[in-house]
Amino acid sequence: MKRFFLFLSFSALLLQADSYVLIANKDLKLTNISRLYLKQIYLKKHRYFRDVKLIPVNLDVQDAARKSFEKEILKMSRNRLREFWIMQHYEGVRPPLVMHSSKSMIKFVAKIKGALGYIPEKNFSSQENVKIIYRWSD
Amino acid sequence: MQKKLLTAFLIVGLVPFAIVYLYLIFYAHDKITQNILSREFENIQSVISTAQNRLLRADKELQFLSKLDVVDDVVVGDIDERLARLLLQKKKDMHAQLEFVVIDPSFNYVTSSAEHNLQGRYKYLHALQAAVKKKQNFFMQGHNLIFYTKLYASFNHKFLGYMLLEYNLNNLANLTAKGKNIYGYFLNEKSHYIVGEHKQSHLLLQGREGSLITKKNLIVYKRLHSHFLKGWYYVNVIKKEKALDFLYDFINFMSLMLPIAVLLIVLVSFVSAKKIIRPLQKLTESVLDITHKKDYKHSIHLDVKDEIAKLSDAFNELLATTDTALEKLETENKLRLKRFIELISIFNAIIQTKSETECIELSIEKIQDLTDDKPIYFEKKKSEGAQIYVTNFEKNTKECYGTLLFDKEDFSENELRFYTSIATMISLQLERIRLINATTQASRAKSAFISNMSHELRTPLNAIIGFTQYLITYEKLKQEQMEIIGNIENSASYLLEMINGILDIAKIEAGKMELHYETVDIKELLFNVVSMLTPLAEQKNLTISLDMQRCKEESIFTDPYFVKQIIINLLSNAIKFTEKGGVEIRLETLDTKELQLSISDTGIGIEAEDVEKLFQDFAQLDHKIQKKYKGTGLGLSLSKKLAKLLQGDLLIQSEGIEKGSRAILILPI
Repeated sequence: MKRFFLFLSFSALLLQADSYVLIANKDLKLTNISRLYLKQIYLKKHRYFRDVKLIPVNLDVQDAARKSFEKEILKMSRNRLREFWIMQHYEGVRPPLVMHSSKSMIKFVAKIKGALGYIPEKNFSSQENVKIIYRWSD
Repeated sequence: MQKKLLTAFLIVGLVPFAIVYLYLIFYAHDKITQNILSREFENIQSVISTAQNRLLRADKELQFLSKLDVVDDVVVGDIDERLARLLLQKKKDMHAQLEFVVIDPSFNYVTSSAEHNLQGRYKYLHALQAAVKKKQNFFMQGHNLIFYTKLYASFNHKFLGYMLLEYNLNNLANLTAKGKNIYGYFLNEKSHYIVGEHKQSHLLLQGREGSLITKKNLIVYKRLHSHFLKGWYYVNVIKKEKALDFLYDFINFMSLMLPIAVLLIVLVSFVSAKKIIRPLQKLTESVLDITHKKDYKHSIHLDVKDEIAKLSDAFNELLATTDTALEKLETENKLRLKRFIELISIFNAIIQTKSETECIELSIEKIQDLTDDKPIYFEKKKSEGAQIYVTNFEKNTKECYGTLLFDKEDFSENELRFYTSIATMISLQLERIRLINATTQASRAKSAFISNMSHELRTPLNAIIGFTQYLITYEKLKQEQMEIIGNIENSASYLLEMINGILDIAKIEAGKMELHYETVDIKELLFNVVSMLTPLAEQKNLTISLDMQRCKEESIFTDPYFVKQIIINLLSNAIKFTEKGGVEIRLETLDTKELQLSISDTGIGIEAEDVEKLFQDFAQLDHKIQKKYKGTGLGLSLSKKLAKLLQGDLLIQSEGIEKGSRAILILPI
């Protein structure tokens, strides 16, 4: 019975449109940024905000949040992204760091001043040393 | 040979054995020890290299891990345990007792490869701090060699903490030598820390490397040169007894085997030498036997199948060849002898020929018989062939008599020589025939001349003798005239006698003396002659004795006239040359069916060397005693010729001057 309810709630989650938030260190004076700006940060076209080095962080490749982020924010296919980073690699630019979980993502962003990362909105809790600077949903 | 072979075998067998034995006793120990040591040096070098490589690899792994992006998780305290999983995986991959530890800048544990969660401050904090201070990226702690490296964030290169690799040095124990007779260990002199099996009491290790030989062990050591393990040595201990066990066993074995081996080698050498020599001896004996008996048909059989068999086969072949050659030689010899005899018979036949025509014809016939060749012709002119030359004695030149022609063109050298020699033989015979003919003709001419002359001389002499005898009877002659006429008569008679003698000799030589054989009473004949000459002996006061008792023959078949003439001659000679003493006549029959009449006197005798001269025509010995006796000098010569004519002989014997002489007449019965 317990399994059944788990399954039910999981199905409900799938059916319902997920919403994600982009979080940043509270000390970062960056608010209400545009999607394009966010894209530029994640493609490492914008490296600094004022004097602070921006450190975008991805979730694992298989993570649904990452897939959604690539689709909705970067609006680039996996192949295109791969090609992009390969070319960037030769220019000495590495893709963003990868965190395994929302938990570590929040912890990382909270600890590092210029860090930004995305997590499902439901995993966010306001007491962390982070703030939401962008939201989107599927 | 057998001794040499035996010696060679013994040398070949014993010397290497002795060398090996002496080598084992005097040199092998050191040599093997040195060998073991040098081998062990290589071994420990290999162990050391491997150990150092392991440490180096561990350090490199640490360096590699510290550079990975995942290190960034230190920032979030590795809550995703990504780093922990990586370290655990790495630890498993390295198959060794080791631990990865990550600590933050304040030396608190962040994560590790350990099974259980480590919390609080890093346990070797002070050692780490000391190493950091010394700027040494490793330090020793207990059994562990701990490497460490600083971690930096990939995104902003800020110091994140330390990653450490605690490498348990006992990991190296599986590199050390382990065995029944050998063990090895790593040793830190200062800390007396030891990795691996250790049964050795404290050693004094010095320098980069070295070796020790104790009573029981061979010890080899070498210092590690890696900076991780400064002051460490690797030591291999080999149990001497076991390492040299084989050698000692072998020496014992060899010592035990020494008498047996020597005995065996001697025995085998002796038997082998004998075995090798035996067929040779047999071969030698057979060869000697064959040589001794000259039996070349015999062959040698040996029960061997080696080189000696080949030798005996070769020898048999030689024997067969020799035998064949000998037989061939013998056949050839026989043929040659036959040819030689034939040739001699040819020569003999040729010599027998009496006329030139006969000689040529016979020669051709015989040569043809001998050679069985194509016909041979004779041509009485000089042409191509075997030319026959004959000496012309009048001109003293060689003239070509003719040529032997052969119906054959190619002559071998020998054939040519053969025919040339036959031609020479024919030439000689032709010359001989010519010479004989010439001589005979000359002799006949001389005899005829003498015979004729004698006859012509006799006729007037008879007239002279007749008339002088008539005058002697004429009574009116004076004494002086009578003596003169007597001398004439004497001289004429002497001359007549001489002419008669010459006539007889000439007749005999000319072959015209005719013999009239009849049965003659020899005793009566002898008696008559002795009676006839007895008055002569009595005149000189000589005694004559006649002895016919030993004559067993009443009569013989001969010519009485000539026999009588010989006896008269001999007896008158005896009386003539004897001054005192007497003449002894003896007639006897010899065993050889001959009659011997011997007349011995006590006269002047004759030198032995002069006897032969007596029988020459007109010979009188030139001696002062003999000189005073007159004679024609034909008597004995004529008598001898007559005796020969009657198929008898006449001999004169004398022991010297004044010792008398003896005439012996031998007649056939």
